[in-house]
Amino acid sequence: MSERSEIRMLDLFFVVITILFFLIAWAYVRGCDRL
Amino acid sequence: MTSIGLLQIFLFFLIIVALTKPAGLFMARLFEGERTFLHPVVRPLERLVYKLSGVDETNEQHWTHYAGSLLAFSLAGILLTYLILRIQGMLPFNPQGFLGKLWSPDLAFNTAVSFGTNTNWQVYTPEATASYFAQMVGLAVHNFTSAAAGIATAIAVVRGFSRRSADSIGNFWVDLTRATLYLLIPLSIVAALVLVSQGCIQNFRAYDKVATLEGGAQTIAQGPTASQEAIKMLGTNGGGFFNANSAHPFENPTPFANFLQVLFIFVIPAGLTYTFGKMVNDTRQGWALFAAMSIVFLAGVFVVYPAEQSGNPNLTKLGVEDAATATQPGGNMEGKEVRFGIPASALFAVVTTDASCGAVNSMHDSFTPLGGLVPMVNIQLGEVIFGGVGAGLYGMLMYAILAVFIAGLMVGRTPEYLCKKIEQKEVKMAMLAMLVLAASILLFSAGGIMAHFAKGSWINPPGPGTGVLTNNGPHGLSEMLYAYTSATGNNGSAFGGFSGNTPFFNSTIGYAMLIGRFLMMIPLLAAAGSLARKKMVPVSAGTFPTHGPLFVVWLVGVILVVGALTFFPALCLGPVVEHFLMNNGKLFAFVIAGVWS
Repeated sequence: MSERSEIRMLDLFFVVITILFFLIAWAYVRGCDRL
Repeated sequence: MTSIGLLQIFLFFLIIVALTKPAGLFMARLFEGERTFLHPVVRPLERLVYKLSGVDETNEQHWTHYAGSLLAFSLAGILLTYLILRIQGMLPFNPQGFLGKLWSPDLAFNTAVSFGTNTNWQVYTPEATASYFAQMVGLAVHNFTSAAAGIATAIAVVRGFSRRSADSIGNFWVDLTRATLYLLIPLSIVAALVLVSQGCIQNFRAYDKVATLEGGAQTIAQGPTASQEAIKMLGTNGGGFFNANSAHPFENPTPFANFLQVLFIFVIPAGLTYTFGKMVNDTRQGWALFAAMSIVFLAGVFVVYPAEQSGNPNLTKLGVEDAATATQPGGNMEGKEVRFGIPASALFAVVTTDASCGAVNSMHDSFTPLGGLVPMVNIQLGEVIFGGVGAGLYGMLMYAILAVFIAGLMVGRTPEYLCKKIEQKEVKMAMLAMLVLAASILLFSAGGIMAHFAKGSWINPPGPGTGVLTNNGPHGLSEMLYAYTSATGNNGSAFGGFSGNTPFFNSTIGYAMLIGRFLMMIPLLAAAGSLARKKMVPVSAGTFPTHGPLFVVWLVGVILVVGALTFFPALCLGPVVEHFLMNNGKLFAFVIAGVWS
């Protein structure tokens, strides 16, 4: 894999894990509402 | 301790006491939707914001919608900042021609999260990596919005106590807009102008190249500093325009500017205690929280200041003169600015970690063990000692819920706070917020200490995770513990001696910041939603009065006991043992130099 595409993959990775955290946080909101 | 040092500390505290009521009154009027003296100028702008963004200011939100709005807004801001940092080379206001490739993906993630969560942990060197556009639009805008989001959350939690039989706790977008337009922007304009008058720079020039007296070349970094500096302190953000933060003469030019900066940190958090009292129709409740915060604040100052003024006994044994005289500050001046001396550095360190500011005017890593212990403990207690803008108040209310719950257990009564019954739901939520903070700090720190990286690993250079630390022994443990404490507590100050700009540390510290911010806010909003639905119960002879000295002492006790129980073992292995070893002649210096053991 070229350095450029490796960096694009890393960009995608960090964007995805950021979005993933906020999805987890939203599930946490729902969980706190039910608790 | 010197008389001028003590005078400085007491003058600071007196001014904060004097500012609390007017600041709090203004914020109470603002968030209750009443008219303020800024309305003639700002109200048309506020209406325009609602019109452009499609917000209906009369529409109130259930707590889940409030939290959802907070999350959506924060996510959008973090992703936008990530993009700005990665493509800064294509954007304007970049006279130094800084390229996006200076920001590796993990560093951009860490920084975007850092500013989006009001942490401002800076593992990068701003003047060597960030364009003016990136600093202003990517980072400084977050200083306003993340601070406003914190204030909005605190106000929503207060509404949980002040409302009865209500399904809503306000509108996030309205609270966010009002906090930004009426409070943070006007205050920042005034503060920036005052800082400029002291010598803080504000320009868009390319860096100057000058010849030094020795004939060498030096680059003097420039930039729009004052505008970022003002909100950095007022919004308890702490991210410096320069790497040296408030120790840099362009950021913090004079001792008077330094004094103002510590005032800026506390003015809004202190005012919010009065806002709380006003909104729950009993200002004594607000003053009780203020008193509890003040006790812990003053206790912290009067540990750090004497510890730093006493200096290092090992140097004294070697014959180093460490007494304060008319011509020298004495004590431990390592890592401190000569312009500010020991009391102003000790006060700054305590204030910046009581609040979730994280700006520094001295290196906490160079403090004596006890001097370094206090800033770390301040953050570990949840930064409830005035705290971050908004975050301090809702954190303190979390402790208040626990305090009345424990008091209720002792006498066998259902606890009440502000005429609301504190039941299972509120206690569960308060405990959840508390556990999230402790788990993130301790588990991430343990992971960082124990991690070992293989050869060829892209996430960290090979070898132990402790390789990023500059010192060994208990001081090294303090450096790692402080890093995750600062990140989880959304403080952002660096202890120093920690060079963790690697994918592993950038990612884990980034996640610690997200956890510390949102997974703590959400349970407290849930508790507010639950409290808002409740009816008021009349005060009876058995009600524990929460506006008197007994409650204040009880609340301080709960804060200290809960904090001590959670972090005491880790602190014993770090700064506490280091203190005793120092008194027995053992120091922990540079690992590389190995001058000492």
